[in-house]
Amino acid sequence: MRDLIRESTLLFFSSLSVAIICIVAIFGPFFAPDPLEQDIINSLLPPFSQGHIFGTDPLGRDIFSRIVSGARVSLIVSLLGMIGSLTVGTIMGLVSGARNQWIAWGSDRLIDIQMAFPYILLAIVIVSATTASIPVLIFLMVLAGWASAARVIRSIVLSEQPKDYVKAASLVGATQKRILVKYIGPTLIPAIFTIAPLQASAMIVMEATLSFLGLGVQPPTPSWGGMLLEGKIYLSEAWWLTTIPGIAIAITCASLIGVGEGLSIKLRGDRSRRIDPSKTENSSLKGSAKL
Amino acid sequence: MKPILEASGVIKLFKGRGRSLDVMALNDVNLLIYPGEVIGIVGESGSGKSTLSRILVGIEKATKGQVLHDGESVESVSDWQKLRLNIQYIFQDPFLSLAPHMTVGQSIRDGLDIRQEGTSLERDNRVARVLELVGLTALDANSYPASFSGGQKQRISLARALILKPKVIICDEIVSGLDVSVQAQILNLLVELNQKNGVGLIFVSHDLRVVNYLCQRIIVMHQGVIVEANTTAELFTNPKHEYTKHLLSSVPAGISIAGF
Amino acid sequence: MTKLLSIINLTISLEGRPNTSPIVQNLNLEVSAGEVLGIVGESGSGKSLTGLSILNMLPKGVYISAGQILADGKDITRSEENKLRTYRGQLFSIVFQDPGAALNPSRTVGKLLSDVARAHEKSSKRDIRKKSIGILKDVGFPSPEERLKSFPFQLSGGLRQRVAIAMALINRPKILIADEPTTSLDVSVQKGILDLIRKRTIKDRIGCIFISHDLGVIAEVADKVIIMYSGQVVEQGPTASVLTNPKHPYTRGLIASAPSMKSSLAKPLKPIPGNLPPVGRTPSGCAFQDRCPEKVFGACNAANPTWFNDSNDQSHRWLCHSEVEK
Repeated sequence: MRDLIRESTLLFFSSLSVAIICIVAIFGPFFAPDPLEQDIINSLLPPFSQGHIFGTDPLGRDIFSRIVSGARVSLIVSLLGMIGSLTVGTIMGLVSGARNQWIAWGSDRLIDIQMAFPYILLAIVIVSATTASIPVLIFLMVLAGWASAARVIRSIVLSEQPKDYVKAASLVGATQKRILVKYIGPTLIPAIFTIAPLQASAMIVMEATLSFLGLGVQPPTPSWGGMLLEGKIYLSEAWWLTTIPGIAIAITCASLIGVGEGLSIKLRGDRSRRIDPSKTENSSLKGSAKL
Repeated sequence: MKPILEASGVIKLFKGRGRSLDVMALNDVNLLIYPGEVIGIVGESGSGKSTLSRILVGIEKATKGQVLHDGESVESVSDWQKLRLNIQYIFQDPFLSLAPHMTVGQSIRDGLDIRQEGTSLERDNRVARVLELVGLTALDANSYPASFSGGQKQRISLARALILKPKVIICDEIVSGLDVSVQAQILNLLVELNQKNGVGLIFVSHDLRVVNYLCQRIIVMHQGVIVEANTTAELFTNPKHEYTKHLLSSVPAGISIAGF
Repeated sequence: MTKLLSIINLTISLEGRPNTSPIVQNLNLEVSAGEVLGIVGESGSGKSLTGLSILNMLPKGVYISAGQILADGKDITRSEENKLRTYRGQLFSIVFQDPGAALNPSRTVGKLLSDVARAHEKSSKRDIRKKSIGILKDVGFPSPEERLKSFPFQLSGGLRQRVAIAMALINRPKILIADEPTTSLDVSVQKGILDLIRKRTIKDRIGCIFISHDLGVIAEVADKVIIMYSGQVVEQGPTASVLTNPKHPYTRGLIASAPSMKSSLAKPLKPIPGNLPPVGRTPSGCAFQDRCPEKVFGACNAANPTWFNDSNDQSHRWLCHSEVEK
């Protein structure tokens, strides 16, 4: 029982945290003042000032409502980016694990190229070629994440391929494609659930980075990265302009990573926790293992 | 009578990686198997018996030599796919040979689904019938492999093979890891399948006692070569090759009065 | 004959699962110097756990809930770790099914032997070397000095098992527990190991407990045998007596279902109907009652079974009900 609680604590609290962040992002803007409303007289108020719990920015806009709106952008971009990345990554990973040597080789090289490419440079090129907008941002997220997802999927596929049940499937006539989709595919689900939150958290940071560089969400739409960019010059006078969005990014990231870690502990724990004394009678069952 | 399966001049060489030496797993193996017979292939580790059984069913490719089915040479992957209806194979480890996320029924049915034989209902009926044939129940089709014991899992593997109505089933050490009482159940099932349904069996094993019980003809292998082949009775009463004699003398005899 | 090991009413249970049956129930056995006691059983019989319990090496979740283990006069049941360390190796030794597990692949045979020797006695390098060469010769290596320099990966399975046995015997233990030591070896290699164990048991006056599922192997190597089913001892006695004249329906079923060199399809094997009870769900009273072909309704499921002795051989006994025909 103690093990069960220990296993689930991380998952529970992290999930709770992510849930709170999502609720605030979805419903927050209905309760907070307008993030775009400027109020020059009340600019640069510190946190805990009257009516502005997180203070105001150089244009008098309420920091709290900007954080809440920025959360929306960050979460949507990272969520959609994660889904896109995992879809592409899983497909490419399956292809890389295929038995056909040329197809697998081609896929592997694509993954290698993607991972070797300097990402920010790529982002700059793409944004200049198109525009800085949310769809482009999501595309960049997918581009950033698919290769590492593909690698994880590929390694699982490769480790499942030589197993007897896969050979048995080919013995009843299954094609490689059928094997990948019907037989090996479902074994990937736990891994996908574990990678997903980690990818999402990386994308939160990436979105913030791109917005900070001016390649992401454009002002006046509030975004955490954009707030960091705006607050940069006031670092010594108004610390809250950068610190608060920074903390928001950090907490969101950590919560998502916590969910990912918690899930992987939970999935691992399920297997090792069960005590089966009949397994100590493995001697007669393993009698076939010839040296 | 034409041989249903034939190995002709089969050689299998495993190339050594790095500093390891090349291993000649099979060295000029010639073998004839006739329809409906129960043949045993015995040998110790390194004899090549498992490699041979995998080459006979196409899971592994011979370096040189041919495998012939009904007189015709089997070469490409598509040749083997056509043959899947005639030769099936059961793996040694019951725990790894069934996909854990598919129900027993799905695993058994897949062979029929791939060939789109009959309607969905007809396929389910065939699954139910073949489960009963191997001593399980039709309801077991809805359960997952994890809820079955090792012996039951081997029965499920047999069902999966049998639904395709093969002429020959190759069993590679399928009872070696099972308890004695469960082993006996599987052996009797195999006997029944052979005598009542005419399914030929190639039974690969290291256990001479089991092979003695089950098989009509025995092939003895040692270090990649067939050293002796004969009917069971002849082989055990009149072993000719030194290695066969050596093997026979090592079988735990114990108290002869009890018949061990 | 000096009694080296006595196990009295040993019961092993699952931790924290009060509604489950014990996985070993009321086990009694004795091993004397120079004899091999065989423990025969299938999965879930509790045979391996019995062996492990002697050295208090039970896995997590399983514990000795009742009974006593006396070795060489001392009560060693549930001994503490520091005492156990002195027992293991000097009083007891154990050989497992997989010799690879006992042999650290990065150490030579010589180092492996000296590791074990030094754990229990402070001796000089020269003495240990002499002891090592001696024990390697005893287990059948023709050139022991050369062997000291070999690594485990250079040896075959059978030779590795011999090294494992050498490691088990180097400190001259009084009791040797062998848990399926030949199950993963080739038949021809197995014969050599069985001969070795028998020889050393007699020569060194060891008490050996040989655990196996293979009746033929037990017939080869054991002087007396206990047959276990789902945690219960159902029959015990001299091997010859038990195997040629089995009294308990399970023993009879086991013999009838095991193929031998004398079996043939003319006399088909008779498998025991049904399945083994899952761990922790042994029926109360007679463990075998659900599958017993000679079950007497009203008797077998109503009362606990009792011990019966063979009139010809008092040491041959089995657990049953009087209503069942002998």
